[in-house]
Amino acid sequence: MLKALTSIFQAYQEMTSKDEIVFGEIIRWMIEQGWPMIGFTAQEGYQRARFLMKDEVLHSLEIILDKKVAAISTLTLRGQCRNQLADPDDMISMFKTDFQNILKLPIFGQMKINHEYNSIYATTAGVRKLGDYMSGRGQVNRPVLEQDLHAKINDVREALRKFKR
Amino acid sequence: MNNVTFNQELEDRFIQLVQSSWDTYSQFEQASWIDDAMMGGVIAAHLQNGFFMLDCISDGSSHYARFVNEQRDRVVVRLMSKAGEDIVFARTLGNIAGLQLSFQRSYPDISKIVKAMKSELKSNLAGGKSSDFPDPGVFKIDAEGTTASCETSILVELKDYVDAKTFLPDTQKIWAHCQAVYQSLEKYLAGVMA
Repeated sequence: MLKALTSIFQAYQEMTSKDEIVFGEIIRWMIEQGWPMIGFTAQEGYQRARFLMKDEVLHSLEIILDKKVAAISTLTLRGQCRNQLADPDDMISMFKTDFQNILKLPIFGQMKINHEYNSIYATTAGVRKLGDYMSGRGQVNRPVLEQDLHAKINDVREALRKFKR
Repeated sequence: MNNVTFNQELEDRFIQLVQSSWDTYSQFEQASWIDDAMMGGVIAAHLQNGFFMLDCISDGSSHYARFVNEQRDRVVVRLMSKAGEDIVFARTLGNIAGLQLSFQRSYPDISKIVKAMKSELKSNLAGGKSSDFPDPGVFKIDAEGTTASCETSILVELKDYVDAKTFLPDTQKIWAHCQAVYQSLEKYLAGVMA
């Protein structure tokens, strides 16, 4: 009896940990791509990790998985393009673009560009049903997750490409 | 109009000052990255070896993650690196972090649970905590519901596991060292619960 109850309790814990299971896979995949994790905060239902990209456009990329209701979550990707500005002429030009961006509003599911002097951020978010990423007990459907991440990272990179100096 | 006379030499000097500041800034920034890079390596190492992540909590400098495998063996990793994130601490003592590892097993048996609770009481009297880290190598038993766990702590130099330039973790080395600790924890727990 105790054994059966323990087993049910463990299975329930695993069922309610889909977000952690998926986020673990995201971390594993990013590191295997050569992008180390350089920031990590997590609490129940909310995980955020920052990865060092250091490619021709992206300096870093933040991935946030926020569980909303049941296994419905929002997956947010925020890319950072860093220009280490030193020339006052560049700063004047960036100030003008910053000013233009004040009036822009974030639109859910679309790319939002935000300038913060030395860094330009591109953010995209989408609603995900975590069950779509799972393929059994603790098993993540890696090809689906990897394809999704790959496409989103590309979108973020392309949105920032024109700002890289 | 103001009377500022533009001097290109002065502007070039300013640019140099800002550029050298960026180099110093990067050193401070990177000192805070290494523990997160290590935690990423810990997570990746466990997932590469048949575990999946069941829980994770982190305030940015103290990280906690729980993993489970197909056999429902559970392990817990706590990485405490508050002092190691300080660049002065890192340059004098190194990027030192406390790594607390725990092996958990379910014992759906009343007599075993009582045994685990007795061991937990004894464990609370063993070891202590000096400086910012727990005493290394002390085994502690904990009981929660039908699960008994055995935990211990070690101190690690993060640069032994994370490349200082690329920040990529050596997941094979991390796993080999975690596995060595888990084996001793499992052996001790089995001995206590026998």
